[in-house]
Amino acid sequence: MRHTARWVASSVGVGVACLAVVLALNVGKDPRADSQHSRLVGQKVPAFDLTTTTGQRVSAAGYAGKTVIVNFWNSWCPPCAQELPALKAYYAQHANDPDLVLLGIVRDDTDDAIRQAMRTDGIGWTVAFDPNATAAVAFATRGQPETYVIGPDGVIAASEYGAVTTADLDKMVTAARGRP
Amino acid sequence: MSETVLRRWGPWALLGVIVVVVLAVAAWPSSGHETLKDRARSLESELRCVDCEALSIAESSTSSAAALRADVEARLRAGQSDAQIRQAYIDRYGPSILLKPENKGIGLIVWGLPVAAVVLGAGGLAIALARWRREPRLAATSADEQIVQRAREHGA
Repeated sequence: MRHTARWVASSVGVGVACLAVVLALNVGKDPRADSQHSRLVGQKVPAFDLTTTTGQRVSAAGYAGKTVIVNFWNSWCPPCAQELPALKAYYAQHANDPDLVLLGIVRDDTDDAIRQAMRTDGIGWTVAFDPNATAAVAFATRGQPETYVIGPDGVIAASEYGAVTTADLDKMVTAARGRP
Repeated sequence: MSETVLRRWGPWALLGVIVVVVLAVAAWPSSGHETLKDRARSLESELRCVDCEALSIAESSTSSAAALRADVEARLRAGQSDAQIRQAYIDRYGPSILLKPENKGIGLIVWGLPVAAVVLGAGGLAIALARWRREPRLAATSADEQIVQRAREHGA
């Protein structure tokens, strides 16, 4: 009986040790690592067809051959307000680049609030509404702000969850344009 | 079968039958005729609302949850299986899109650990019971009774 108890205790010990090894090997593999970057990077841009604040239609197909910065945002989200100066600076810096487009897509907000924010904050780039969240789902967004850069080849080259800086945008656009 | 054997093993056999029946009922598929709506509801309750904390898209009223519900229904109508839809969401959002961890990889620990704990606990209990049963039941000898008697007399 003493041997049986020893055998059981040893088995439990070995089991706990194995579990510790497995857990140790998985430390650092954050199960929410997917919350840092989109899994769609490297894939073809999903189809979208939206109406802008000025009533024009914009689509993925319509931007073929251009580098497109897609920024999902809302007027009420603080991180969106935080990244606004960077977007404005980047937009002003590249205003004369005909092959670079900055497209804001409203993730979950009212038309009035967006128009008001655009006036107040001096947002000059194209902003499109996504009333049924079809683009938000197509891009597998998780929140706002989220920024995707699509290369001229129509492939999502980079993504960033959370507020971006001009350095982030530079890096993402360079990656998108550097694609073969 | 003698009465002693029946008395000894009868309760264990009954317990075994109950466990088997309960497991069979729990594991049996609920229905072979699930409608698309049933399947959609079931899948929607498994998928995490991306805008919320610990809510499924079935429970959330955000616009993205509504769009994801519409996407699930469209995929079902297109003839995709439940497994294909789950995989499509994992491919796009990662495994954290599932509210329940998968029963493979590291997720297996979450499912396996409670089972292992129950099995080990039951094993330990069985061993302890067996040990207690085998331990001799000591009866007081006349010498013991004399010692106690003397102690009482001296104490009094």
